[in-house]
Amino acid sequence: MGTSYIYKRDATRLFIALRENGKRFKIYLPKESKPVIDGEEQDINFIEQTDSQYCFDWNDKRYNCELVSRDQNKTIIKVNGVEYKFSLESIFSYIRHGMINKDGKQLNENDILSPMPGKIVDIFLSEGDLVNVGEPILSLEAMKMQNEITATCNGVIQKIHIVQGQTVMKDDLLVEITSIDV
Amino acid sequence: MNKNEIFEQRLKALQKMESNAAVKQHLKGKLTARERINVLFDEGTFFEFDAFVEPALNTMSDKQSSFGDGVVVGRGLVQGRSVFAYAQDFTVLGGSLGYAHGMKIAKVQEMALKLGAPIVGLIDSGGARIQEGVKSLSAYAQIFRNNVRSSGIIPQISVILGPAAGGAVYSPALTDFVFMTNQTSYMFVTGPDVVKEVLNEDIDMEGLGGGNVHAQKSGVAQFVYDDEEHAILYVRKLLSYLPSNNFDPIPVSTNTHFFESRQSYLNNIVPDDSNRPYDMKEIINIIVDKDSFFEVHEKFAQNIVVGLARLDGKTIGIVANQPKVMAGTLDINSSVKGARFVRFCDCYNIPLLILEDVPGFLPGINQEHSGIIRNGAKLLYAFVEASVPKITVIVRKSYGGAYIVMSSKNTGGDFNFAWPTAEIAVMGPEGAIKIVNKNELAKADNKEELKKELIAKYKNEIANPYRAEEMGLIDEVITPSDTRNVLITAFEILSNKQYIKPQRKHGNIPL
Amino acid sequence: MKKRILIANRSEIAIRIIRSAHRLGMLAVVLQSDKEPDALYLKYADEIIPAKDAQNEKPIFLNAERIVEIALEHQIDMIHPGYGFMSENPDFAALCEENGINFIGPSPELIRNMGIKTIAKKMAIEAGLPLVPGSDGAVKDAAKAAEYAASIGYPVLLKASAGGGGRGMRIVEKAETMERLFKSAYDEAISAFGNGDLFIEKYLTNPKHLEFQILGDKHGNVIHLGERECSLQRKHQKLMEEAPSASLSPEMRKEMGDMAVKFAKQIGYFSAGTIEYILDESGTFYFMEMNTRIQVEHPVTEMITGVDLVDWQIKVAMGEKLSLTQDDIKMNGWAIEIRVNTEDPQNRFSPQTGFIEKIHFPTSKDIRIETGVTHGSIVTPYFDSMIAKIIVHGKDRPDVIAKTLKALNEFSLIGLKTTAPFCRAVLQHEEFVTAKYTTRWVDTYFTPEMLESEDEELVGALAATIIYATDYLQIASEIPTSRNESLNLWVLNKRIN
Repeated sequence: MGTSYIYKRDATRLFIALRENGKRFKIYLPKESKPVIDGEEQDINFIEQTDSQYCFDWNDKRYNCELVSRDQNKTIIKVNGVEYKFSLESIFSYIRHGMINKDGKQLNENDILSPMPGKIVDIFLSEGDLVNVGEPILSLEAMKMQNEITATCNGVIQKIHIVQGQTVMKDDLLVEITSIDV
Repeated sequence: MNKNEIFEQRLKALQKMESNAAVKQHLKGKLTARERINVLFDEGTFFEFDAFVEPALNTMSDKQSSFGDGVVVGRGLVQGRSVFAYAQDFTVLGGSLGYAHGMKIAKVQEMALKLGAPIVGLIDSGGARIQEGVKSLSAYAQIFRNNVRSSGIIPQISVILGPAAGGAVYSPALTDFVFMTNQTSYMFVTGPDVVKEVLNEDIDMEGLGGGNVHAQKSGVAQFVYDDEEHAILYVRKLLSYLPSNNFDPIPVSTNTHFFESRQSYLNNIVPDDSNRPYDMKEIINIIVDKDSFFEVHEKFAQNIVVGLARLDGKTIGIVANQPKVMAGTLDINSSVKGARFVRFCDCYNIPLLILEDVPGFLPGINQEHSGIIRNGAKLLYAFVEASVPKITVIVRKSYGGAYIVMSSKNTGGDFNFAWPTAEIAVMGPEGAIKIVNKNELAKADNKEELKKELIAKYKNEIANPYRAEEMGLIDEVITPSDTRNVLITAFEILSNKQYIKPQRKHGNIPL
Repeated sequence: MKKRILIANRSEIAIRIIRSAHRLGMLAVVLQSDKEPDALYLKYADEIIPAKDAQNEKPIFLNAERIVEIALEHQIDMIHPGYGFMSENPDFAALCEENGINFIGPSPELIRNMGIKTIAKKMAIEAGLPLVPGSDGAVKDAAKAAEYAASIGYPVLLKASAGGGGRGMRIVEKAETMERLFKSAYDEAISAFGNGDLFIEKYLTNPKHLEFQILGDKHGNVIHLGERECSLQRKHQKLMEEAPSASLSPEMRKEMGDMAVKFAKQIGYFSAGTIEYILDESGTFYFMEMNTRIQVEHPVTEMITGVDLVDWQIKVAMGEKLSLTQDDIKMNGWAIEIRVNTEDPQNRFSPQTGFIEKIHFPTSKDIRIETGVTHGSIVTPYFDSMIAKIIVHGKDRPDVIAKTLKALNEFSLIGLKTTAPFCRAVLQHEEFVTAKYTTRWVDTYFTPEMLESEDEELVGALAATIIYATDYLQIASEIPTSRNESLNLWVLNKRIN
């Protein structure tokens, strides 16, 4: 039920690791293959785990990781003797956090304007949906060509100003997206 | 319209409601009621009923926009086990509790009780629906009554994910555990406006009744999380420790890993100097199964640590003094926190492990005047009353009244063990020699020297675990690194513990 | 009968001395402190004597009378004091002598003279060693100090004459602050050493710390074994050392070494000792002080010269003649020593205590490990934080730096934080690679961010995510549980009424 956000447990293998200094890693953990970090598959091998040690191997270098402390999603991890503090989020909690922290502030609008005059053929998403950069939102037919209009940022579709079949002019406001920088 | 069309139309209306709700809630950084339900339950197991109930007093022009009267109720599976839940929907009439809304909750509560399954309330409500007047209040009353009737029979968990104000706060208060989220949830009897009007005090919602306030200061919430999803997922984790009802056996995990290489550290973890603090949680984490310690009330009254854990896969409840905070003394808040947790464990047959390092009760005018006597008595009452297996390990200090309270042998502790570092006596050495050796000390030329001598003598002769062992008040002095093994065996021995209670309606715990 | 040698020390140096004792066919006896009854060094000894140094008492290693008492009770022939503790305490050396126990080290008189800086300097001047311009003995008050400072020029350094370890030491940048700093240095010296005498000297802004290893016998023979560079310090505590120093030309090495030998001969020095020099940016060197013990960093010298200093300490103590001449000493390659201290470089080097769950050292023919701990050891707050040393040998400086970095990558310790990552950061720093680093390196260049590296951060993020995700996905999915059937109705009926 509902249009969006059905909590698919297995689909949520994408996580965000945020460091206190603002550095951010987008980490996807596929079930079978190597981890994908910031869009790139990395050849990092998990060697072994003992009591509190996690051992990795990457480009012939050994990485001894040790869990120092954990408080909910705040984790301090020691890698080869140096501590790094990360705050971990699932992609969904990360987006919601962005929302809470922006509360009361001017929302960062990322409106999608029509690039050319044409007719709306199809709308793929609805209001309230989460979108990622490059994800198609709607299809616009102009000069006998169907163009997919894609999201320019990660975020939530706040308002859709058009309906299927509607004719639009250049620079008409099509969709409002609230950006959540992921 | 034929029957099928009506059906389709109603379903569509529901979908529209959900997508409207999604827009509103997502922008506030919140999930909708149905999304929350989806996080709580195993995928695809939620069975909803009463989805099309209409408000008792429907003032909406579009009747279909208030289907369900702002609450989603039903049953689902959590780790394969049956759990009932209701989730309030803030996007329908502000989640306010009308009569129909309340009766839906009451209905699911009654089913949970009838079927012996835990119930989780996901609360996000503006309070009683003003338009419905006393009718909505009567629905609250029904809910509270069900809360009390279910207490001690099925675990009840409240998750506050939005406002809970006025009378609405009492349902969570009656349940076993309260979860809250930071920044998005609030609980108070009277809101900031009333506080301003009556007392002329300025305070915002977060400061008056936010998650952190209730987790740290008031002790209303046992758990607080930064995010809804975490909060709800940790409800799942909590449920994994609990039986479904008071007749159900506790679940046993097949994962029994523990910190093998760290066991020997227990021999050195307690500092030589008995006035130096250490972290009791470190001891707990070494003894119990790896990563199994799930602390309850982590931020409230930190001088006592309570929580659930697994020992060899089986759930136990832990009550431990925390020498790191206020030297582990017992005060009003820690006594109440401990007592409530002990009684919870007793309700659901969860055996108790008590790790003791307590120099005594906290002295002071404030404590005495606020009733440390009757509040301390709660902890004593709870321990004596508990009929589950109770094992105490005296890690270091165990003095005076606090020794008695922490499930000592003659209050009904089934096994009392001690580490060699234990100090068991009526009072600490400094205090004791001042009384016992008063005359000697007054006459002595070199007071400090004599004091040192007397303290050493006192520690050697009186304040040690061997005196108590000789009297049978300590069953055995154990090697710290052996604690885990001893406890596993001891709990196994006690698993068939029978306890015959005298017949009575109920005791009169000093509330 | 085998000679019995008592080691009045602990940790890695105790094990190091035991090794030499065994090589020389002696029995090694050690003291067991109640503060660390399961320490590693005990396992290597032939005999362990429980010292019964109770909780609130000072450690046995600082209790001169008790050590000598124990030595007499247990028929000890010789005592090796190691470093720290009683190693430079002339009274202890004298007490040993009085009781007919052979103290391994120089004479009490030499220890005493070198320990008092004003005397040591006087003797150095007599031997023609250059000194940093400074006051002739203690200055009376702040006014006198200001007067003198004006004559040699600011900045100047105030130093407690009985001092060491940075206590009672103040840098005075300008005349206005002299009075205040003089007073605070004086107070500190009084409380630390019971002696408020301060002297004053020119302060070198960017000095290097070099030291020459001396070895002498009781027959007047003295040689030097080249220098070590110990410029890498934090608050006057050395963190890593190398030998030789890249800052010395062969001529300078010869000049400084010859002077050191001349000085040692002049004062009649025997046993192992160290002449410390300070080298300024222009390449001018000054004598600083003499250490009359075996140094923590002695292995770097051993690595490049092949001479076993502890062996010789013992042999010299027994009156043996030095069989080595200066010409026998050849420098071979380069060596670096990493001190593994349980201090947290990310948090102002705060000491770490607790449990060592796992420790892994690199192994190679070029690597020498001196450790006082192993798996399961406990680091207590009672003693020094240095738990191990990693000494690496290479054919030249770039080679040894590369090898040391590799060794540090192989080193791992689970349970506590150490200075190993700090040393790694130093080895990669431009100033170190070009050998320009001075004693101000830590203050000038070090930031905790230097300890981090991008690849480790990324793996850390991954590890943190995996740990989190495991829990997250596990809670989100089913946890395997079975039913505990031990609670039967019989039990429950009685518990619930």
